[in-house]
Amino acid sequence: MGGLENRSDPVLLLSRPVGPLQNGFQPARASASPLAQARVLPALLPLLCALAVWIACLRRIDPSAMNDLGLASVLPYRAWLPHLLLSAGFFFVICRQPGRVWLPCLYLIALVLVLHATPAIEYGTLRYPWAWKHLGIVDYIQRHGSVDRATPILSAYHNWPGFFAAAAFIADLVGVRDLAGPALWAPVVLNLLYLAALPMLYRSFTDDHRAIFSATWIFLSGNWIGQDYFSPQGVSFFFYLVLLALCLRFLARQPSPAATDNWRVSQAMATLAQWLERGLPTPSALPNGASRVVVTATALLLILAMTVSHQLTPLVTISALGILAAFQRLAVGLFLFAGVTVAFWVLYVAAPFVAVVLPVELRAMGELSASLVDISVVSPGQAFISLICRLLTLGIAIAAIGGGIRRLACGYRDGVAAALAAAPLPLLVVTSYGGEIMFRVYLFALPFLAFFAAALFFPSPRHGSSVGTPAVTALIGFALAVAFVFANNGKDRQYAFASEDVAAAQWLYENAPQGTLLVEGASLYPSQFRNVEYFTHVSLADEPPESRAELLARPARVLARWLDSSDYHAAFIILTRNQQAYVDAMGIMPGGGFEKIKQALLASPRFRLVHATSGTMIFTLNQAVRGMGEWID
Amino acid sequence: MDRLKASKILLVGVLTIAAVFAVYGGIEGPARAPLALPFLLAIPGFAWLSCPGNLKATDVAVLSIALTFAMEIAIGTLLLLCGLWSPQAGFEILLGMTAAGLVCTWTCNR
Repeated sequence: MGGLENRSDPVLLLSRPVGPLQNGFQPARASASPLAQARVLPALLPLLCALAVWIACLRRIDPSAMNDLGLASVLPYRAWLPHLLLSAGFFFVICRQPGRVWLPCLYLIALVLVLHATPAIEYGTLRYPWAWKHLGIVDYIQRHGSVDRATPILSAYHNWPGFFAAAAFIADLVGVRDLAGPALWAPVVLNLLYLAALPMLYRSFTDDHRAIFSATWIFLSGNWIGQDYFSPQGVSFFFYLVLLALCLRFLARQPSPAATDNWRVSQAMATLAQWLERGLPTPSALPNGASRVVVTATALLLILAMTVSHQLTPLVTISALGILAAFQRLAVGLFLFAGVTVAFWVLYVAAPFVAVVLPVELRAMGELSASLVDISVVSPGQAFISLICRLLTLGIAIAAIGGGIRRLACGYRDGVAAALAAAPLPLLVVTSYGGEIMFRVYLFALPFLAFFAAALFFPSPRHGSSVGTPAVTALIGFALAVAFVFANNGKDRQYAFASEDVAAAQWLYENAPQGTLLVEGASLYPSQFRNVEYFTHVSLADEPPESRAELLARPARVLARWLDSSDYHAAFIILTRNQQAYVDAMGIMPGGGFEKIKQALLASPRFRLVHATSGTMIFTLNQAVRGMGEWID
Repeated sequence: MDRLKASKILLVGVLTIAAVFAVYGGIEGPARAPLALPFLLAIPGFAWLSCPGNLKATDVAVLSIALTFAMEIAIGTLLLLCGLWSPQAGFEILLGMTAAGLVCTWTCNR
């Protein structure tokens, strides 16, 4: 075992050997004795019960009855039982039967299913309006075989097309024309990939399987910000985890002051790096040069794939690789490659986008307040959801600090893990990222925060699990899983779409001609997923306050004026229940403004309802009345 | 050649042939995805990652998927930006990379 005992750590040399059942130090040898087999069944029982209850609860939920608390508001009480059973079983297994690595893996897979397959099955349609826009770019590539880097419509996606190109490529080869169905399962698939990649990363910090699996549980429950859908950032984040695991486990080098030149700073960094690495497992050695070439080429390709797919992930990657190089944990080559590749892409390939966005970003630099919801103006339900999100984030951060202190007390320095947790922080001053930057920083820090948070209970392999540890950790694990449902699915009244509303949007996007003006209540509905370049979108929720005030004073007259433009071949207004939920919950149009607009359009002879479901209304100008010159403002 | 290496090469070969059959054999409808997807999700990466011998099975699985996705993103982007978009051409490049990986696996540690 390339583990802790290989290092000259006085703390560890003094440690008393403890049996594997108490300390979870390494997987026990596979045992086929009847006693061992008999102990597997009780360990599996909570898992099987959880899955049975979960399946029994499926399809008994009415998503249309959701209120501002999201999915949690329509879950029956017994739907929380799987979370409890999984948490209890999982932490019992890792504390009492740490030798069986496959058992906690099964629990973690089940957790992913319960957390992420539930919305997919219950809603039956692709969640998040942005996921639909991503389908639109794939559709564009399939129809045109190119991207339009100068277009103002979804410009960022056209300038970072890697993920969409791969999706179009795979969809064409597999013969799938409509990706909305397969994309529905992206959160499940991506979280399974994170689940597979995280232990690989954590093994470079500890050999303790209890800490590794607990950290994975905390990550899966703490990853509430909802980037794990059919998106470039979801896949790029997987690449980021794999790249760091490769760098820390297979491409890592041992800092050695003797091997460095006489430059004092360099020697001081090497000494610091050695000190900060105290207690860490030895990196895995690759057997030959060819293996090293393959692993290095994999790392380079991952950097390349991130660079062409997403704006933010490569920046965090540069920061993380820079940290590893500064700690002399990694040769500087990968850091330089990432820097040059990203610079080339941003300054040359994505130049049309950067030229437009850079001035805006510079003005918004350092603005963090836009990331946070103003609790005073949102609905009570959304205020509660915001509170849960903040408590979940804060709880993990505080636990991470506590875990870090416990690790320090045990003789570990964990300098690399702590620095990697801080790697995304420079982004806070570099970009506002449309007001989302705080969430993204949290996402990139989360794998390392989760590791330290797990260390609060399992700081070192020498610390056995006390009698109360399984119960305490199970309760905390349960609380995290419940909080995840509130935090991640708390806006599903806005983000989850009924199939009839999807059908209405499909009707519109497939039938409207090129050069259509589409006025929407808000951008939260299935939009831009087909013929994306045909439409000019105007979102009422995003209008300046003066414009909104004018609109609310005389909705029919103002909207008729907007639609009656010779610049467009057709013009529609689309109002949906998701838009209304968003506008009402966020206090964008106080006093029932959205409903007022809807009623005004229904009552006005200037407008004709061309398509309607119980949740969607699509209006256009009434040409007959228009021809009579019924209104002239 | 040891038995493990032979079985890896066999697995890569079988799933590659299945994908070739799906793409070039005129298979349409629901049968096409199960034939082509395993290859497109992991096999080109797996062909290369059979070379480093001391990786755990789970590590190989994760790396294979990541490397395959990364290859597809790189190939797709290259074709797109060069104005040569063609999923079939991309598939042929993937086949070439898989074959190169198999050669690497074959010759590794010999």
